[in-house]
Amino acid sequence: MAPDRLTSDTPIDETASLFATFRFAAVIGWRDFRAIYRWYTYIGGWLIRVVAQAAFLASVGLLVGSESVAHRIAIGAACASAVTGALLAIPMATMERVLGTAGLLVVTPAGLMPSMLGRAVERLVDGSLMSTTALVAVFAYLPEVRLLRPSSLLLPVLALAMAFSSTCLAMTLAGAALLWPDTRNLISGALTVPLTLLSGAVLPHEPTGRLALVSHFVPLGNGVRGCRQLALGHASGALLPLLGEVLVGSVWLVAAICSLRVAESWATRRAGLV
Amino acid sequence: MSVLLAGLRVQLLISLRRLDDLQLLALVPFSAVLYLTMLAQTGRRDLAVVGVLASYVTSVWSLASYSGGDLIDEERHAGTFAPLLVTPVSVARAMFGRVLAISLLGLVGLVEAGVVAVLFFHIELGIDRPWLMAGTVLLLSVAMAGWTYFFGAVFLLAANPRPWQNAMSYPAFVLGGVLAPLRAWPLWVRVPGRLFFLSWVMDLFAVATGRSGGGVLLPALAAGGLATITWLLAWGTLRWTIRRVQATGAFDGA
Repeated sequence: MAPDRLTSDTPIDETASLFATFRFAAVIGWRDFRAIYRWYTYIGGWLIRVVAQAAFLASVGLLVGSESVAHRIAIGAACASAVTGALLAIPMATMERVLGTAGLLVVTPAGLMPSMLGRAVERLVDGSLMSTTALVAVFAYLPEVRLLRPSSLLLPVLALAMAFSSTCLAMTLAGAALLWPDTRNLISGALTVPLTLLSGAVLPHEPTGRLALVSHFVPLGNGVRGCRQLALGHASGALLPLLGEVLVGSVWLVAAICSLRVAESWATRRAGLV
Repeated sequence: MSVLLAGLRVQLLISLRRLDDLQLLALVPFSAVLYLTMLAQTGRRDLAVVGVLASYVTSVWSLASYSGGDLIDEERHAGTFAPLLVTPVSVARAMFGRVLAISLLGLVGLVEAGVVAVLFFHIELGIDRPWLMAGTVLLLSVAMAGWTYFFGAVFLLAANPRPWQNAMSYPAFVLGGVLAPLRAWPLWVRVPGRLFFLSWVMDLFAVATGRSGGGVLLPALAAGGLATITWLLAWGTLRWTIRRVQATGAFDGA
């Protein structure tokens, strides 16, 4: 039978296809990010907002007249900036449906998952930049913390780890937003509060009991502990939390891959994406 | 008056069907839980009313910034902006009821936050001077309606207003002393904060809830004066923006 030219004789290298799609999606995501922001809107608007957010939440300490509470929350809220950036991955994931390209992605050999994860890379970059900026600002402002010391070089690493785990959590829920796009802002907005509370980031005191246990398994929890150790000048004390944050992020990455595969399967059968 | 009522009715009907507006209100209980948990952990349950008011004020601001900011732009994209320009009433008058409706919709947030405090935190919200409280809520609604106008006019000119809408929220809450009163902040926050109407409104809320024994006249006059300036600025900006749109012919958002 003559070839119909619709199929290639050479078998598709699935792994290479997955990584190529991921890479191209990451580039597209970065281009989108650059289309939204100019350098002056990013620094003058977004980053100032992030620092103001940390200051606003820390003002609970000013309200109750406790400087130590204000300083503790300031560090936690600066870490939580990574979540603010990362959770935007949920509404952004629905852009594929808005643009009408979600159906096309579903029927590609690589499927929906690598392109979704690739586009979320810019959230990882943005989230870690936001958190690093806020942490540097807070460390520089707090009188009892010394910013200019070698251990502070771990701040961007911890920020990256927190942005990684938060983005993976966001992508776990992005599948649901893709199926029900109207819920995108509700999911990302509603997730911020439990995440910042359960991780202990904005709590005035160190979580104890069950809450302390839970804080080790949610994104942000370990990273916040690491940053507080750095504020105390204990560089070695930040290494274990850093590892913990990366591990938590890896678990959420697996969850995100599974969730996007399920969403893909649902999309083809129920949501009418194709 | 009929134009005002028609605008109010139209906007309420739109907002109650629009998920973006409803989502902003649906998130109020979450922010209330955040502030109330933080305050409860410090052992200052007596300050719970601050958490409730903070949730309310932040939701009113978000509604003004997002819903109000998109108000005229949406008319333009729906293709109804050009017909609006040639109606017998001015755009400013036609929009008056709509911006007021967005501002009043924020009252739902106040109720939501109060319900969260009472039901989930079992906190009794003490309001020493209910009439002052009601007057301050009214003043905030009218002032925020002015800001809604302003956002609508300014964002009409921006190619992509979303970064600005996102950027303005928390700096405004800090300058307004929404959680901690402005006197607790450093001088470099206090000085610009006093030029912002929200800081005076928060002072009035503090007096109404018995957290401050200060006078009412100065904050009321300052908040009223700054709200009037906002309205005038918004009115002027809207007129200028419309003239610019008429000159460029960008009626349909192209």
